[in-house]
Amino acid sequence: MKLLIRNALLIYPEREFQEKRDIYIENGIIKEIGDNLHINNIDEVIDGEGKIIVPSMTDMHTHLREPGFEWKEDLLSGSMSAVAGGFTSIACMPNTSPPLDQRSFIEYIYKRTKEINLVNIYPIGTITKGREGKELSEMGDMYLAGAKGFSDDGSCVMNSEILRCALEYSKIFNVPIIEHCEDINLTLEGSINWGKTATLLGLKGMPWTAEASIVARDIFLAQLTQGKLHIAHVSCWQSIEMIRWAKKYGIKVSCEVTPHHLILTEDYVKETNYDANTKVNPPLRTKEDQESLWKALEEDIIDVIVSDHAPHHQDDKLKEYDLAEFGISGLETLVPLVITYGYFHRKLSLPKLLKKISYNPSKILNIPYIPLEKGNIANLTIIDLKKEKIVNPLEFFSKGKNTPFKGWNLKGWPILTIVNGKIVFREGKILK
Amino acid sequence: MLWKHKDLLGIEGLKKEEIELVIETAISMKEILKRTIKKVPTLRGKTICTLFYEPSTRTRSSFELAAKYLSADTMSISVSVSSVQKGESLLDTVKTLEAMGIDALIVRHSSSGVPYLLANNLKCSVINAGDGMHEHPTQALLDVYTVFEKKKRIDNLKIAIIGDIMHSRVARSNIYAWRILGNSINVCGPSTLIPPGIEDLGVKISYNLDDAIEDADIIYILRLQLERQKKGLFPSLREYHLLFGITPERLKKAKSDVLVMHPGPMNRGVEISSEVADSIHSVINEQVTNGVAVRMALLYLLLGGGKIDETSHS
Repeated sequence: MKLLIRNALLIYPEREFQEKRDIYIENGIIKEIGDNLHINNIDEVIDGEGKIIVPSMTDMHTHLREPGFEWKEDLLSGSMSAVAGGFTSIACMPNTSPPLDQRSFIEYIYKRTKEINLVNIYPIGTITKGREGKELSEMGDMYLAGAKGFSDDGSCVMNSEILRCALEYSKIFNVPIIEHCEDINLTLEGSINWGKTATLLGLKGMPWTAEASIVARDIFLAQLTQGKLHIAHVSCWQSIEMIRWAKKYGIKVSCEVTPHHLILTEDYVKETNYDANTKVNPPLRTKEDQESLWKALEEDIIDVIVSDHAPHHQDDKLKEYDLAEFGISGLETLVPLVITYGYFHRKLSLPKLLKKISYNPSKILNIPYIPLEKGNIANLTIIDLKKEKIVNPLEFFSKGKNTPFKGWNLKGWPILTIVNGKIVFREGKILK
Repeated sequence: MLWKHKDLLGIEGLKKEEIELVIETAISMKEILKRTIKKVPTLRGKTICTLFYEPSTRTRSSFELAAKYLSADTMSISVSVSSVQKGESLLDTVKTLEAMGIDALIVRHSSSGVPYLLANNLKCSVINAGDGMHEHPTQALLDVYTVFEKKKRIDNLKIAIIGDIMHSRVARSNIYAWRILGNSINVCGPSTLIPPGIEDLGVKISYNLDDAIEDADIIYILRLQLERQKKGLFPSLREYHLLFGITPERLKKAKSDVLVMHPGPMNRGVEISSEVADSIHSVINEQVTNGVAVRMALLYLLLGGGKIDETSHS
């Protein structure tokens, strides 16, 4: 297969650089990058006008629900959703049933990934056995099987000594401890941000303190241990200020944010009259928090943008707000949300934005990052900046149709995904 | 002025004129309640269903009587003996009821927002009879009506709402209603029971009962849920009564013609002393009676029952 893309904007996130060039891919290998390339016997030429090409897009925080909750998502549907979303790699969180807390489960994820052969899936193992927060999991054995980080995501490791040990022990393998920061004593029965909107809606609030106090604790533990800490889905300005402080003092901390925390606020819960698709954990916060997240993104205090893809069946969402599950299906809307709101609305540079969904997550998880360079295998995504589309969850490849962005008009959709040299997604279709 | 809404989900968002329309209509309904034969054919052929996921005596029977006095057929689903016990979801339960042809569903639920979920998924009218900590609109409307009866006005009043504001749907609906009508409101209770941001609704907050009720026209006392103490939100019932209980001595701070109101059921000796509950200031029993009139008014307005049978007025 000889594919020539003319005059596309090539993005080099690792260098925060972009340039307009032709790129020629032959049998999955980038053979040439240049101007006015003359190639014989080309199978296909794509006009790159208005299109960008991004290497190794990675979503480092997804929930694929297998094993245990396959009716919500499984590794196949999650893989299709990932490549439709433009990702060449994803990391899947271990809060499955049973949780990914030992070697055999890590091996299972790799085995299925190979069988499905669509997207690179990198499993995250649990920090503690059974995600119970009591005893460390066999991190070493899971690391040897390919676990790229450890997290009890969905739950916080409430016991400070256990987390201290996890940060200390994980240094042997130089992998991150990915923390879901939430003091559960402060969020019990909560379903929305603590504050005015919770009061108006009569819902139990989850205060920012629940997140920020654990962020602070974890940062001090990382300072103590010199372990690698990655803070999942930050949502409030107080957490950001703690992370800013930690980075200033050279503590090994990184963090991520979701598009929904960047784009929505708690007001949206009220606007949508308790639509449970707005129910996420951490909850949607205030305008002030939202602004601090954008600022932190621009200043590189926030390293990564993730979907926190949390697919649920409609039965888990079409119910009483406080009884509905937390989370939204995010893999297929992350890129257009980031392009629409980060690039078009906020005018952030594309390489800077896309670095947070390609180079940075790859480096944090220490997984392959393949830049756009002659001789490299093609592991890239073409995004059409001009393509506008209304979000229609019924078109999602994910089994989870739970999105608060239904009906939103977004711009900048992935149109072609090449994983390890093979075109796996093209214009709405999965290619196997 | 016509009632334009399909549902009554809350007081928030209602217009002053709409509240006044309910009050006007309730005046006619109260007339019916005073008759020997309390029945008019206004809603003949309509079917009204009450679905209560929480225990209730006064609200539920008040709605049922209101419907019966207007000649509607009523159906009452008790969750404890329904398919909910078999694990049926809320939406499936209400869709089953709607398929049987009901015209209005009156729902009480411990989850805030449930009436919105139902209204979005049902064609029939939905009336919120109390949802979680959110709203209890018919309670607020009957409270406004009761004040109108006693004071002959519903504006320029100084109202003190005392107690557990945090968990009270009655407080929220009352705050909305009294603010829409142009009144000043003080809320008072232990700081652990005052929710964040409540001042944005245009109320003053006080932790001192004497300050809150000074020169008040109305003292609205909320029921204290006794389990709150076990959750550590205040130290003891004894201390609560000492700091926030309404006693005859406390009442002297308010205006001499102050009205004492309570949505019931009362904890005598905790939030209100028996002397106050049974005093000439108390309109607690009138609130109950007026609840029927106001709910008749609402059913009439929502179900488009046409004119009340004029002949039966004579």
